[in-house]
Amino acid sequence: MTSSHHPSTAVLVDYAAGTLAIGQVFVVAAHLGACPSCRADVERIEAVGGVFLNDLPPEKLAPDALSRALAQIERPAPASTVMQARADWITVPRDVLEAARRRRRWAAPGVWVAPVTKGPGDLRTYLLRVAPGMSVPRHTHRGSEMVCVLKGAFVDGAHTYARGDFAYSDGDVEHCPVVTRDGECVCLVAAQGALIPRDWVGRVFQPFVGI
Amino acid sequence: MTFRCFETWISHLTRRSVYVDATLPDQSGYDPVGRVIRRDLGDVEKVMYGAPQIKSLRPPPRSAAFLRRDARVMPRRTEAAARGAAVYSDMIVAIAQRGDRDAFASLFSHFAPRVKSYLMRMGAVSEAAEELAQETLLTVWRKASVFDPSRAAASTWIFTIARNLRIDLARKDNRPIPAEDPSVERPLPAAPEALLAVAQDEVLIRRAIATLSDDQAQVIRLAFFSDKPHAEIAEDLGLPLGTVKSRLRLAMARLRVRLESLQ
Repeated sequence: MTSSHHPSTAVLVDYAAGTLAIGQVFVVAAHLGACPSCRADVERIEAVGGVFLNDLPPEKLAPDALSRALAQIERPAPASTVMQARADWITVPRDVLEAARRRRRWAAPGVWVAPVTKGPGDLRTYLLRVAPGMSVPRHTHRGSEMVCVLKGAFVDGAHTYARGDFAYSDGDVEHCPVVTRDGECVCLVAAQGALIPRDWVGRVFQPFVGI
Repeated sequence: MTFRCFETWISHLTRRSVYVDATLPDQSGYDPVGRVIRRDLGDVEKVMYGAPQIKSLRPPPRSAAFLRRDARVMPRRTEAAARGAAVYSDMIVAIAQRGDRDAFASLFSHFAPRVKSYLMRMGAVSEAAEELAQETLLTVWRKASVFDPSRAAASTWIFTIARNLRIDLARKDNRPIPAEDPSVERPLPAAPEALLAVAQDEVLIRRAIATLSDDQAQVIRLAFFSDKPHAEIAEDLGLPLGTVKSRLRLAMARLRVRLESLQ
């Protein structure tokens, strides 16, 4: 895992430009809710996006475009992606809380998983809760993985990731994160490809966990 | 009305004239070179997109050569025009304060064709892009009261609305979300004001962009206009991923320094 505890500039640019997958957007948005300096970076990049938008050659619209817009002007707005608070977590996109409420299932003693979205491709986004002091079985990844800590903290090698921190790892990292003893840890994870367990505990549990 | 100096007076004139002209899209602000380039780009796009037949959000395949050309020929507006852009913020405020439909019509004429252009670059076919551009401007009307001109330029705000609507569309494609009435709710996170004093000023942002090297400007433009994350951009350009990442990092560091030193 990277040790910066923040998304890389490249990830922030992808977020601001709208080219991340939806599950990754949720993970980065959760971190941004807790991190003023990354938020300021994103807004600077968005300001660049605004300038680019202004400079684009205009595309021809249908002749009745404006009158159609004016006719619909009082129609109420449809629901959109919004952040929502829950007392013991950092704020997260509403879809994430929905998942925690409706699709939570115990995967192993002390561990629950709640799928948030699936796709595109083999990207899976899910909530993972691990009990205090427990470790996630030693594993590596087939692809990249973005994690934001919503509650509690975990230790991975020399680094501690606490509430609001962002962690990124890719296929060549083998690790076994351990949750600190002071409380449960809930993470929002967007991972490409399945985990590849490296020890027998993981191999036994993986089929049940399904991540 | 009195003006303290000549420059204020000039900027007042510029703002007024842009306000009047804004109902006719794209009246001023491009230099002659910009006009020529823009016409060429229009032709390129006609060739690239043709008459849309399949209703899909997936982009037609684009070659690396096109991406490179696209990044190079994007026209730049003059600073005077950017100064006039502040008038769009005033229009959003007018919508918020008194439901000003004329202001909305002016905003629509300027931004809807550009939002459509943006969405088509991001891979939408013409009809889908027009639908989403409509929805973007309708959202501007509905949410005008939350727009804060001291925090963001009108163009930035409208860009983020278009981008978020695109994201919402992807979200709905993935899984239907039941409508509900959540008690605590706010839009995707925004930065605290202290860190942002400069982001609302398009002129300063343009100046900061102008200090980027060609390589840095290219990767940033491609990040915005190619519907691809940085990893795939690197592939298209035939550059190592690390090179693209470090260009983005250097570009951002420069923008941060430029914008902070101006505060």
